[in-house]
Amino acid sequence: MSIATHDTPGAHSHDDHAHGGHHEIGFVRKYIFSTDHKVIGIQFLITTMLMLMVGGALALGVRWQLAFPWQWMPIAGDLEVFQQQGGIISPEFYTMLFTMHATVMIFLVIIPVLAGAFGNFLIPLQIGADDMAFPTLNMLSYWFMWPAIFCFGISFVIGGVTAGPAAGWTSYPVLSAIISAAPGSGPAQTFWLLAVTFVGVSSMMGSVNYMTTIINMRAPGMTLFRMPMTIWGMFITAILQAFALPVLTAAGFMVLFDRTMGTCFFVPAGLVVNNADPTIGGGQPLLWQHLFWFYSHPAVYIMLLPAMGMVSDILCTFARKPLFGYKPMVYSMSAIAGLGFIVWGHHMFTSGMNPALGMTFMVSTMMIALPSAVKTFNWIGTLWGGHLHFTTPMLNAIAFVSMFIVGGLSGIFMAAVPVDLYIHDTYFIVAHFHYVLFGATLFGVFGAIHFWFPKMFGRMMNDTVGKIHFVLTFIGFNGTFFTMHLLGVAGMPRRLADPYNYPYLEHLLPMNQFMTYSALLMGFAQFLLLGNFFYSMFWGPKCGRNPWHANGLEWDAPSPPPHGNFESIPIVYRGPYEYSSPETDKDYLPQTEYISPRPAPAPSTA
Amino acid sequence: MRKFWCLFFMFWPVLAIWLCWVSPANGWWFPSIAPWELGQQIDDLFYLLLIITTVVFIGTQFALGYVLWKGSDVKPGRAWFSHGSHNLEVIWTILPAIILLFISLYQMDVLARIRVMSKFPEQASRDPIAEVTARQFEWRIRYPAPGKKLLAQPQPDDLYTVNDLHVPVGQPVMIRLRSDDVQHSFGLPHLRLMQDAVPGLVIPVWFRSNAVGKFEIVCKELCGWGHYKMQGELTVELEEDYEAYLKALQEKMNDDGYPADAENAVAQSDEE
Amino acid sequence: MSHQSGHPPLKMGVDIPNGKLGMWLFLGTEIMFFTAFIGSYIVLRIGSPGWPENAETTHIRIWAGGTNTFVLICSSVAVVFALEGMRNKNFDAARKWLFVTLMLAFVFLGIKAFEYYGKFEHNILPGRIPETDAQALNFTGRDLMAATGIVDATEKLKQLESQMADLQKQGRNADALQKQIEEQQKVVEAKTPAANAARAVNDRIKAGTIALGLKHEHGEGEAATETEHAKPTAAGPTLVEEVERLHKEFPDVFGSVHVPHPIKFGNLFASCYFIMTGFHALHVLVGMALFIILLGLGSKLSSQHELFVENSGLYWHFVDLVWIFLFPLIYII
Ligand code: HEA
Ligand code: HEA
Ligand code: CUA
Ligand SMILES: [Cu+2]
Repeated sequence: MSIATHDTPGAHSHDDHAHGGHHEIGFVRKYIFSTDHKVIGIQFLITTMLMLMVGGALALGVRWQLAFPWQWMPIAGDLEVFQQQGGIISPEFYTMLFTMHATVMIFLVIIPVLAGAFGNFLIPLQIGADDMAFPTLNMLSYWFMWPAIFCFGISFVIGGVTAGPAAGWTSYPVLSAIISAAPGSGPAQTFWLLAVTFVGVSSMMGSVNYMTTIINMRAPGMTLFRMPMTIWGMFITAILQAFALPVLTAAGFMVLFDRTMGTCFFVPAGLVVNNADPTIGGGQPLLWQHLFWFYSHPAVYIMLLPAMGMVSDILCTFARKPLFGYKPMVYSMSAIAGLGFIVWGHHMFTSGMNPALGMTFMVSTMMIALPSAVKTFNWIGTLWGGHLHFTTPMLNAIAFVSMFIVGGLSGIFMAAVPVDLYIHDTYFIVAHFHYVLFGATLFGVFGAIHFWFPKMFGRMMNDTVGKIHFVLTFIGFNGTFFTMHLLGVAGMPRRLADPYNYPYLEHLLPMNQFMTYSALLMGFAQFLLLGNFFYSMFWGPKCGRNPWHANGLEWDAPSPPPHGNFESIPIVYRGPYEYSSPETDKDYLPQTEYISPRPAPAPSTA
Repeated sequence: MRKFWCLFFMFWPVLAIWLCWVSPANGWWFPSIAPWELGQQIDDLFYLLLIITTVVFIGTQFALGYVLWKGSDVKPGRAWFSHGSHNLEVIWTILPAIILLFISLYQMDVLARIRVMSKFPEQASRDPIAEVTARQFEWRIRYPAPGKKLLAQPQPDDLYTVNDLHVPVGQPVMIRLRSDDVQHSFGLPHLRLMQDAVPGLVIPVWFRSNAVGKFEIVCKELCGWGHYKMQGELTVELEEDYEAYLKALQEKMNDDGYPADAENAVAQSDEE
Repeated sequence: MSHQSGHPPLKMGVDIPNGKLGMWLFLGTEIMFFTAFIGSYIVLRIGSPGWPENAETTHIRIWAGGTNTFVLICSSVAVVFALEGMRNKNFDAARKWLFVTLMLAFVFLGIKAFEYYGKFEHNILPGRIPETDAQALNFTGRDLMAATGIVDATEKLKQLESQMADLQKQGRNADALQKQIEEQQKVVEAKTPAANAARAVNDRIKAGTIALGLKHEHGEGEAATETEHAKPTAAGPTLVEEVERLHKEFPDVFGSVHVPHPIKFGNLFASCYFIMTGFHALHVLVGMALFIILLGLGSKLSSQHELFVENSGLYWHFVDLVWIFLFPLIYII
């Protein structure tokens, strides 16, 4: 059932490789302040997996309040800090919960796990380089995460449980720009903004590094159109990040100064916030929304494209088939990125933006579904006529496709402005983005973890546990989030500490309780992942270089690859997806394998 | 076991469609029929999208199921060695493109009628019925005195209420929406309508209800800790009732010490 | 992509060293960073009903900005000569030109500092500029009170007194505290005359019976002040006169208080001005750090640093370019 084989036990000898010798380095340099892209990638991976638990625990807090509003919290309710509230979730705390949930998930889980963990680990391996172009910069980009984590942490605890960053992850001014608008949020929101800046710096360093590496450090023969889709995903993501993120950083500084130094970019004159003095100013709150979404819309594709790439790799490997339509896949990825820069206004359909502008954004948003459609069809085409191996990575990758369709199709509803006038800021939106973020990206990441784990540690993860984790997560996920569409249609607004305050929503309580139970199931399933991961890291069965019989360059290096990756510079002769090629007897044909041209009948053309 | 996974992936779309099917009967659907034509057109648009996406959903999910089913056969030989098909790519680019373009053009008209000022019904845009000012965490409503027009600047004889908006039935009405502090959003879920109240801007919003009744006004933009309880009420009533309501309001304000309050409110709005 | 070819070329990618490619890409991100500020500035300016355009009130000095533009262009040229020197292995010349660049950067910052000083002096700082006469009055009143320091002093006195009461209740010895209280009383007394004078002015401000009385020596025709002036104000000395009197009576208390000039839309202007020029100045500082590192190498400067010099030069051109955009945007239009 599984094609994983444990043939040649990992070559642990320190073969001297073509990229110059290296001396033994101490533990700290090797595992902590390492400049080796693989170590940095694994550092990112472990950090983000732990952050996933944190973000998930916060989500469970959110779910608790929605299912059992104003009831004593299990476990956390006993803590000292909640005594003043009687152990319940206060409305302020609820706001903090979902703000930090989203922040952690987006800035500390999804973005770093894709670009930071897999980008780092895979880029040099898959293009045949010995390391990143700027290893020290790479290390810094990991260590810049920690001030961010630290600042987010402070912002959450600094004001106790009734005061914290309380403006949602979108952090709209004036709420986020004037301290008196959210009493007590003073230093917390400021730290939050600082943390976003740190994340920005970290990602910016990463993206410059990735672009340079991919452009300039490919192994001989690795032309652009022989790169695996993962690399394309990472490359385009890096471009998006490099050109969209600075805008958010700049905007972040502007709110920060509005809060602390009396500037007024986003604060109009004469507002009376919470009975304080009228504000002086003349700024425009909508400007922030434009700047924020100018980044954050491309950012949702930053959170998707690498996963799309990795899923393409996984699907091909376990379907034993070439990727269906490689070039259309590449072009559609680029089209998503390009269009991604001109659709940001679809988050602002109800904001009072000029209607003509709204219509333009609507059309461009509709059009961005097109490349996604091409990708979806090509994935199905890839599976078509394949010899499928339902390994854990494969199951997660199929789930990616299946869930992405749902998330994408709900996006079409919201792209239609008149419909968005009704469903904007309801749970329909929440359903949409959990389908794309969790359903698509996170399943892709789960698949990638199981797929590349052997390369990272030279050991296999347990396939049975992996499958149980997958099934439980999949069921819990759909139970939690599919139902949210219905809540959205019923008009339940998001970010509401107590929706049952509104008579027309009262009857939705049982539905919400069902979702909470599903979320708990999904949450506890993640312990299986963590357990499997850390257990296999030390005690999993050893594996050889290429347990999946895959084609990519990374499978050519020892598992785990030594510092410097390859024993000799790999030479690339073909694209990465030549599975079941008639040119060999195996059903796979690694990129580095040289086959002398046969005079025999001309091979079929693409 | 191989077929199991195929069935596993097919099981959930079936469940999802079944769930959507039974939802309206269980109240997990639109809160009520929209009491005006644009609201109904929004619903129609929603249903149109629902049909299109359901077809796409079923098509893609079952195509996925089909290829999984086929691919899970343990058959000898190799997978199909194919790098794709140019014709298929063209077809599945153009087909969705047509559908998507159709969707986006089809809805322009509804959007324009809701949002483009020059397409508002004359009657409504000429005489805004009230000014609704959002603030943490309530809706302040300012009506002109009966028989007068609403002016941009508050007038001494204006009438004020909080969280209680009354409009006559069957007539297009327009409100001026503003915010005193942070951003809020004026949501009328029963009418399928929503508009953010942005500090520093005055945004016109028009609607009509052809049914009398009371509807919730929901604040849909996070505006602080009390966001969840920022609830107002829209009362749609007969023209006579509405006028009587304004009269009563006016008397109440002239009666019992209310004018002082009104002046306060005037003073505050002055800072606009 | 599916066909294998013969033996592939050995070098993939573009013919630029990694460092330089990385620098170009980094500058791309920097461009977006400044684009965000410049774009916001344009949007805010177009969206604002007005803009303080009078250079007298805003203390914008075109000559200073112009000189700075010239200085930066010269320094860009100097950096090119430095690179030329590196390429010709003439490291002395390279060092010389790097030094010139650095000095020009200092000149730039010097002029910038002079400009900032002018703005600090007149309190042209975001959040501190009164936009109407009423705000000017209020701000001055507030500053006058703050200058006396009476509020803090009385606050402290009260605190001491309540401590005293506590001690007395417990019947404990409070001599030391008594002494402190007496001292504090003296402090308060010393401040009282000034405070009373300030209070008197503040009362008039609250009652609305005082005019600002600023002579419109500069910026005649500012829309804001015009309309405010149309309002009839009560007779009596104007605020400017009052403050002058206070300056004379209590020179060391109120010496620092000035009646600020109301600038309509001034806060938005100041916000944009400071964020753009501020971040530009930060970039200048980073560039200077690069040059200082290079110069610090002294005679160790050699061919291996050629890329470093080239990248610093690229960065410096970028800093220059940003200024070339900022100068007309801020100073001229
Ligand atoms: C990975 C993240 C991700 C991805 C990929 C997407 C993808 C898309 N998103 Fe989503 N979106 C978010 C993350 C993401 N989004 C988040 C986080 C928010 C909320 C932020 C907040 O407010 O907090 C949001 C909000 C959001 C809104 C704002 C809603 C509102 O607040 O009112 C809109 C509106 O247009 C939108 C649209 C779309 C569209 C059209 C796509 C398209 O790219 C989808 C395209 C894919 C398909 C359509 C499916 C496959 C195609 C086919 C099977 C072909 C055939 C289809 C047809 C012919 C219809 N998204
Ligand atoms: C990648 C992004 C991502 C991910 C993975 C998730 C995952 C989850 N989210 Fe997410 N969510 C967002 C991004 C994400 N979310 C964003 C952007 C918002 C918008 C916020 C805003 O409005 O500003 C949001 C908002 C949001 C809301 C709406 C809140 C509101 O508007 O009022 C809800 C409500 O149910 C919710 C629930 C969940 C749940 C149940 C999960 C589950 O999938 C989580 C499953 C759990 C785990 C994976 C971890 C398991 C950990 C444990 C089991 C530890 C247990 C420990 C203890 C109990 C002590 N989220
Ligand atoms: Cu007002 Cu939310
Ligand atoms: Cu978007």
